[in-house]
Amino acid sequence: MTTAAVSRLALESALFNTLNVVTVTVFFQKSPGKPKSGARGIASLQFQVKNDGQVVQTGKTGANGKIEVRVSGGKATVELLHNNEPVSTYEILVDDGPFDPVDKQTGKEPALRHVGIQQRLRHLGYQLGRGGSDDDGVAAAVPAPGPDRKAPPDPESEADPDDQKDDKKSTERAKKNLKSAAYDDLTAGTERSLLDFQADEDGIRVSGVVDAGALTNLDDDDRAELEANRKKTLERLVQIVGE
Amino acid sequence: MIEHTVSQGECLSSISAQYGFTWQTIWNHALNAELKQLRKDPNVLFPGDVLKIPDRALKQAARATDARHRFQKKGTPAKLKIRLLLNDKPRAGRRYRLCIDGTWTTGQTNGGGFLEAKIPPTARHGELHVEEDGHEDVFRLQIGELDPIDTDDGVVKRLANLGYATTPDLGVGLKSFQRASGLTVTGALDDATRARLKEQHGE
Repeated sequence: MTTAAVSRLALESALFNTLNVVTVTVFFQKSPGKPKSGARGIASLQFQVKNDGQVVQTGKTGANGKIEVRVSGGKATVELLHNNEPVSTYEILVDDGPFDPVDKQTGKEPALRHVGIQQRLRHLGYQLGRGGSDDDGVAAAVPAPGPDRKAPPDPESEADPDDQKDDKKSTERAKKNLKSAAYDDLTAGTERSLLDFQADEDGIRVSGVVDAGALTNLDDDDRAELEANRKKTLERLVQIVGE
Repeated sequence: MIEHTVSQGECLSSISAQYGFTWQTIWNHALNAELKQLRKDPNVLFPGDVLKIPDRALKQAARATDARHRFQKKGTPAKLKIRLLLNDKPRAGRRYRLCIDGTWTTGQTNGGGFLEAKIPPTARHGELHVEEDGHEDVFRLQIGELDPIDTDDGVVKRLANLGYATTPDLGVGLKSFQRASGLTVTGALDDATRARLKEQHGE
């Protein structure tokens, strides 16, 4: 049951209230990627949808693992059930523009581009190689701090002051290693996901490349092919996710 | 003259009925000119607003004796009018059940997805069941609790009714609404957003 505040109108009034229910399609799958066939979906999962703590929808997933979640008031909670007891909980929040752009060509905002790609890969279920239950790896995958992003932790702030005095070189080395590790680890995770995504998609070469800058030192022929492949990868990613 | 402070769930219709007036009598009375200027919309008052209730005057009507005469009380009932949408499209021809203060009625939405029902001007609670393709959506209606559009609560309630998220961050819902409505996407609450929100909500 959804709670809605409505106005009481005078008989002569031409005004009205509106109650809009939004359906959000969710797929539960055994593997990441576009829900292509029944082989990927997890069928017959028992679920319930709650709104304001009340059960508003119950059912089982179809052969492709699909649920059409009915959302009122912009939010809902999906619970997967086993023996009628919740075993997994997912919060659904209606957001018509949740993704950053994928292809900032200016080079001024490389982080935004990476985040946009990572958000979409994560949305399709690809693992980015970082995080626990509350961390999807996307925010941590930012290689350079932007205005809204936090920089990696500074090892200097955690180092013993005496050690800093005695061994500044070692602190500097640790700092470089940490930033490098954060960048490389996340890049590797994103690249693995990209490779998986490209392998899952027909007509795309498995290159792992979506960064135009990575193509600059190649021969013209190779660069042209990889550039076309890079654009196709990004277009397909945006197309599948729907934005 | 009585000063009535509006509480949550009250509206002009319910307050007028309480004092035995039509809503027009109170709304158009010179005593309430300032509030009328502030709210502009007689269907939505805000808790804390003060309505001035004029003294009741005796109305006299001359009629012949030894005959039966019929007098009709003006101004009641009020009405509930709701447009039901699914993914922004009208839920036309859908069967519904409506319970107002314990009394059930049934009906079917019209081609625009509208349902309209007369209700007591003092009705506070309702429950609406709407059937669609084997599913039933159930709404608990808080009648008279839609705050004015120029209040934050009024914005939140309208966004929620239109299907936009209002938690944990109102900016998410505002951005989605602005994007869907062709407005400049800022996530901030400006006059253009309020006006469009009121227009799309219908009140």
